[in-house]
Amino acid sequence: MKLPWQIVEPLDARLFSEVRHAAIFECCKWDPQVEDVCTLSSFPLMLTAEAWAELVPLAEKLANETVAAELAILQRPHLFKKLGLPWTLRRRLSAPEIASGQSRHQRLIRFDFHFTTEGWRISEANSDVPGGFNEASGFTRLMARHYGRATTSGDPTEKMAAAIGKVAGKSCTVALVHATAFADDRQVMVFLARRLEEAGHKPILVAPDHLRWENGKAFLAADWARGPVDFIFRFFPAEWLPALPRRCGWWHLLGSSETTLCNPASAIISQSKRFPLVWDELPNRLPTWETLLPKTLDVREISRHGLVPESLTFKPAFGRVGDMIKMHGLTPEKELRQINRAIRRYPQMWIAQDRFEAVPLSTPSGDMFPCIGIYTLDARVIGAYGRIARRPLIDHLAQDAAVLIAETVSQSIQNQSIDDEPLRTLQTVGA
Amino acid sequence: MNPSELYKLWAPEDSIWSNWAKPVLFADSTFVGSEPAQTTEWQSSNIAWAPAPESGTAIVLDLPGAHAVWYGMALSQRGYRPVPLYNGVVGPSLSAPSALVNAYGILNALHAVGESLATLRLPAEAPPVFLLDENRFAGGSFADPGRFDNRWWVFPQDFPSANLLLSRGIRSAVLGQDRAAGPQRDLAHVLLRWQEAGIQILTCDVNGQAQPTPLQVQRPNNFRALWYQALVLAGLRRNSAGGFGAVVPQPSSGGGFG
Repeated sequence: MKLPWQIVEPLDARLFSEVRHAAIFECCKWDPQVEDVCTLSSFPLMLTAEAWAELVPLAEKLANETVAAELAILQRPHLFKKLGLPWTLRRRLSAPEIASGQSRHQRLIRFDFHFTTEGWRISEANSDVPGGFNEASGFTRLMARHYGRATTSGDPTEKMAAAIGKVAGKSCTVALVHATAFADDRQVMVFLARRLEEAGHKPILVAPDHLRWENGKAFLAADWARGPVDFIFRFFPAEWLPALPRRCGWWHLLGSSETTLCNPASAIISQSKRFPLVWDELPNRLPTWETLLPKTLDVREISRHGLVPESLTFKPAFGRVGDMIKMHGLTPEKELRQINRAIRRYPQMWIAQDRFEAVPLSTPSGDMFPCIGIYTLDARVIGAYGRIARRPLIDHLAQDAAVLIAETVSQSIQNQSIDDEPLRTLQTVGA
Repeated sequence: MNPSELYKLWAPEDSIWSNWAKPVLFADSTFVGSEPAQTTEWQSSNIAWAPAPESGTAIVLDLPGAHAVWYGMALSQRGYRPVPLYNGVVGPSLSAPSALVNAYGILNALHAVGESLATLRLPAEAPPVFLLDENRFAGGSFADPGRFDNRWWVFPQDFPSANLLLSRGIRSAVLGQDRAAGPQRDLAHVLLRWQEAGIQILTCDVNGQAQPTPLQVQRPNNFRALWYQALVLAGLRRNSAGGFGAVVPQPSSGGGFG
């Protein structure tokens, strides 16, 4: 098995310090430090052109299957409960205009790929509010300047801005809906706003309760912005919408909105880690998902399948950034107890998944575990960025890494395979 | 001076604490070309309570508005390195009449004394003074419809770990407040971790003359709970959407990777 990446040298400390500073001020990377860890990697994930050519069609097939399955599920409301959706969302998603409105909206998804002993696998789809534009577009561009024989995988923010213009027209008003008090979300929206401005649009940064609706069309009602909206980019998790005041008409964001959305909040269907549990009840199969996602079970069915918990990864239906993931041998004992209690209490909100053997990346500071997030917009790949972690769990301590595509492959590297590195430890990974 | 240049004054490359300086307030603001207002306000700050810099002490100033900047600047004259940890944005406009937290005053203060700080040439290992805004929750008030919510919390991840502090010779930490009323609930999560690792926590009223006294940090709700950060962030999202209600015990989804 050939490795899909090349090993490259990190930037020297002085150069990387300049990149870090530029990432903060040019790319709105406002969280460059988490406790004692720099969140930016000083070296890129240098994929071979061959690997990228393999990943692109996989991501596009996954996106097509996802959208088709979401529509099929919207037409089968009895499946909502199995996905772990709260009752308010279940009730609102049952409205027929949610399913019929889907074709009006844009679908942005990020699929998280891991290279394993069995080839590429995915750990999940970030289907609802995929972030990371600052890293995928901005930080990646900064790093690419220093690696001459490589290209980027695309600029998802630029593609997004262009796609918005195509749908909503030139000089359109774009509401960037997010939690304004949450700096981690704010930085993504400010970055997108800058790119939209460069493209000639009028971005307005608002919280969801600054929206009002008339005949299905959105209007702004903030102290600093009022009037009609041409496009809504939502960066506010779907499962939090029911907590909003009624006056903001949050249910329009599920997909019935006449104003174009990205994403409609019906995306929560495939955001749920329990999405695979309803596949058998759909008219069409999801062959790419079935191949790439480890086998997924309801936690109450583990013993019926003769499995032992130690061989599985446990994830909450709506987990975030690797939080609350249980992996035997990796999750600390105290956390294990807390997670076990949560699983016992709310088994319908959890899944168990087969573990896979991730192939680590050799770096000057030891083996690291990479994850490559590939963005699709309306089922076309528009870019990627990576995260790397010292342990086989992609969580908040993982670093953001630029994903670059090598233009040429040296002979020595081309022939490198995981068999050449007998001392490496392959480890199961969770994300 | 642009935001990038101002940030460099507060987070110079040679300081070992610069990586923790939060860029949010600097990077989300525009004051390109404006001259800093000259101020000597910080010179009247009482720092008689502050331990000597060579005592191996870090200071956390949790003071309202720009006061931590003034005190931090005064402490820099004694050899401490001010580290701004303001993690909120100004708002839709610099004057931001609708913002719940007045971050504009803090930004002005950082701007006003930034160049003076740079002239001090503090040593790279100068002990840190972490600067916070006591009003970061805006009193826990409800957000009126249409207003801009820029409230924020601090997390243990915003600070150096206890291990790192100890490795840099920091053996104690003084919490400086307007009235030594004990740490706010978010800060208690940070200080208790430090305390458990063997760092002595002290407290003092920065307006008084008394020396810092030992503080036994009480265990806050959800201390070290696996879902603590998720709950608080979920709460912030909820806050931003119109209400400072109770945090709902349900993990959020989101843009996270993995």
